[in-house]
Amino acid sequence: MVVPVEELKPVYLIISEQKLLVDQALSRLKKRVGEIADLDYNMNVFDAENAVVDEVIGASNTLPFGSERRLVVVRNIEKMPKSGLDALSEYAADPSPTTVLALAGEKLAKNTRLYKAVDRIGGVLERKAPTRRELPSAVRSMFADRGKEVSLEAAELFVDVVGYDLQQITAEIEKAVAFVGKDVREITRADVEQVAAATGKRTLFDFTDAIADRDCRRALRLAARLIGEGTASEHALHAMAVRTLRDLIAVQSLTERGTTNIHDIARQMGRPDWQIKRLPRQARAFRPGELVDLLRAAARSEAEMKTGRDARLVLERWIVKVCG
Amino acid sequence: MWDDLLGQPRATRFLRGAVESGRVSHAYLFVGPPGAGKKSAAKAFACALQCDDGGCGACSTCGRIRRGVHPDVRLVQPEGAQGYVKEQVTDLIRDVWLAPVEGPRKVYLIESADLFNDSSGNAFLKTLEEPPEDTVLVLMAHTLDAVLPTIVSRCQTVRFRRLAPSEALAVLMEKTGARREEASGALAAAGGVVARAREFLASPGRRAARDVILATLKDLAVMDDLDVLNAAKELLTAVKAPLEEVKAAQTAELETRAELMGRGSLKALEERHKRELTAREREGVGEVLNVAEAWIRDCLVMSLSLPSLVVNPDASDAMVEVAEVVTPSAATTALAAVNEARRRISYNVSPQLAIEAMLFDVREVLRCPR
Ligand SMILES: [Zn+2]
Repeated sequence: MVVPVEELKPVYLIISEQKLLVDQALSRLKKRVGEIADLDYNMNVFDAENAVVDEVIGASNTLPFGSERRLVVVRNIEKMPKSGLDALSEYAADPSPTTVLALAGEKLAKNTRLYKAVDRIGGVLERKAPTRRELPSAVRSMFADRGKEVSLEAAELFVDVVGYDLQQITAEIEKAVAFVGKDVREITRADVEQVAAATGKRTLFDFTDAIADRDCRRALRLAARLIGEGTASEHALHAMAVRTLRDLIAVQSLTERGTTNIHDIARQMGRPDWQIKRLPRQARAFRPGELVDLLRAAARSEAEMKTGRDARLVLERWIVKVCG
Repeated sequence: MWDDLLGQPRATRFLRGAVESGRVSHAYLFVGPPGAGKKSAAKAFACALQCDDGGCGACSTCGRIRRGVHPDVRLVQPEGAQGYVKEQVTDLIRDVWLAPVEGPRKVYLIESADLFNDSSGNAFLKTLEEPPEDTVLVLMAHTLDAVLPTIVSRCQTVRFRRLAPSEALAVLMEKTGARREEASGALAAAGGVVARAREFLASPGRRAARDVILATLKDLAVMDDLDVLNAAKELLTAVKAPLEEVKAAQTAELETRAELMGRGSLKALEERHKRELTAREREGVGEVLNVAEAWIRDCLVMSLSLPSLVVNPDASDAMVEVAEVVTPSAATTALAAVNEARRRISYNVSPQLAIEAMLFDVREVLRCPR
């Protein structure tokens, strides 16, 4: 016997925003229980969306048939009504010792009775979703699943604009795919900006515009509003402003190289004319070398934000510096 | 696979003997300085435990363990900034009690065992003492002193010694047949880790990324601002290109395994592949920074008329001009810029921004190297 039977918890809570991580954990648990139980006769699977909680608890209180354990699985636990969750937490306080009850789903708040009850017996298995850093790549592969190509740069902008919520990201991806139509294979940075503008995220671009205009008051006001209403995080605003700095640097260098025609500048930057038409004038308001210094300051401030300094304060200080 | 353990005959003999005699302990602690080959050894050991042919190095099991995507060989690194946090350990303990997915057992490769604190370490002790019979835990640490004594006493200790640079170079040349010049550049890119230098030499994409950073440094002094931004972008593209090699291996693996596995497991496999790509990208950025650091150091030693210390002799043409004017203090400033980029990236600053800032800093030094 490989597994000491007593190491199996009577109740597991398997939680991840990523369905496949839930599936993976469930199948491993199933395999473990399968080593000591004939699951053909000793397993029930419910879906919380339409399950009757009494039936779940009834199945859990049933004795195993010719085995040491029964396995009862409830999927989509987040769809279970509150009364059901309460009944399950009562069960978890005094579970049947011969059953492994696996409650699986996208989420369950840590402060719920059920979570605490399962945590107390050591049965919570939480699987992490992609980190913020991994999200742009995740976005690219989600687009790829829908037959669209997205550059990493556009994917990063996409994440900054849409935010970190996987569900919202999925919804915005559908919109972007519909927006470009099925004949277009590549989704560009310009497309992302247009989709964002169309879905009420226009203020984000007002913010980067204020940065380029070096309008301190407007930039701070918009940043406060965007952060306050939860439209964007400090990190996202910082990343977007850095992109604007890069655009300004590009325009400044191109102008110095003798490219002055707006159409030529746009072509060299790979952007539509309308998106960059104000940049040459805005770039002139920065002294030579100033933009580069601000970009280096941006690297410093991002490091400060990521090491736990007050992100809002760091962002505001940097904005003031840019607008200087 | 034992062949991957370079210059560590004693550790190799010991581990090999344990597997071949069937007397494998449930917990090991590999101790040795960075670059001594602890991780390669841990992987080779895992192969010997999992592979049907005792670690042949050629089968799919060995291949996936080597690449860190085998479902029953889990690589564990501290998630908290200060080390292992309690939640991570709790999760690890629960995972240990789940069944292996494919093989007869599971192997956990646990890095930075010195980063268990009292609380997370204590939580782990019971599992460390008596894991399930089908589980082998391999912990790794730089020095024995830094590891909690309660952890040390529950593990079988295996020591790895530091290879002298000349020894590392000789081992690498012998194992790969590379010329001295190539091997030396590869070791510099791999931060002195022989196993990684070997992988580096076998990867055209990673060698190409080295060429891009060397070319960038060569022209950096005369680049305008936009050139620098584009160079940073090009560097990151070059770092990502070798990922195509990894992706090709992954696709092949998906195809061969598709028939054997259910849909759910396939998705889990894809998930592991994604994590592999993220890790490799990080490593790639690290390599580029290593090359930049070595290049600046080379310029400095050339300026001090010590050409035999140059580790990137293939790039020495471009260094001559810099070496004529660079001062030790200027070189130090440039090295600090590279280090700063490395530090920032470790804090999760966007690699693009970190590299841009580094290139602008180094450009300033190269333009005015006083
Ligand atoms: Zn093998």
